[in-house]
Amino acid sequence: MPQPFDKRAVLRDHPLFGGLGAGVIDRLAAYAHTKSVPAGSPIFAKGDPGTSLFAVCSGTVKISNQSHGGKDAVFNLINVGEIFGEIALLDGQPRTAEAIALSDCELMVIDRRDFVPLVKSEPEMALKLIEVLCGRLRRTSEQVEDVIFLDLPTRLAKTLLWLSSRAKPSSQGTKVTITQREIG
Amino acid sequence: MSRESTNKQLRMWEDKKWLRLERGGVVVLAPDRLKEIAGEEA
Repeated sequence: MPQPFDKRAVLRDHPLFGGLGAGVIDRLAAYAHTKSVPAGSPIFAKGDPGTSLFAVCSGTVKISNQSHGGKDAVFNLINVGEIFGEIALLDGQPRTAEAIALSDCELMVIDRRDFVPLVKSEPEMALKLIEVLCGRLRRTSEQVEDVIFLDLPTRLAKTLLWLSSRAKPSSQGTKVTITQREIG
Repeated sequence: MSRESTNKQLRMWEDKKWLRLERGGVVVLAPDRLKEIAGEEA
């Protein structure tokens, strides 16, 4: 039986929320709820209403999209200490991609109606969120550049290195939990 | 990347022992070789 999370402790240790004052952490902890998602289960689909922000407390989440022909494109792997779902949460538009638990996940979930007022009242929180968004934009720009300018071996090597930098290395090498179909 | 070309490239690197293809994943065995291909500092 999994132990219930000490939400304050998780938030204090979280890279995004950790530097915030005790009052803000208390507010966030009051709003947040936790959710267990088994490996392989969807968390949200593209086009769903963006009503929540998710923080990964354990496990890994895959952010991807599928073409009409069934081809997968993996945009990101979200690990412990990172957040996802912030784009639709902030602009109120539908989800831009789907999120699937790549392994068993424990997530902290904060609803838009609670989070947006917090961002408005806490400039520090807003700045941290902007940092996350800038990181996403940089990554997306790099991906677009790579698609336009690089040949397949270079792009593939870069993708594998980026994914492996986000995975846990072992003595047997670094396993990137992504299928050949998803890479291609 | 077309799936066929990607798979072909991955198999070529597997033959060179730079990586191992497994069910549900790819194990990177020689990141320095991939860094050379990617134009990054090995």
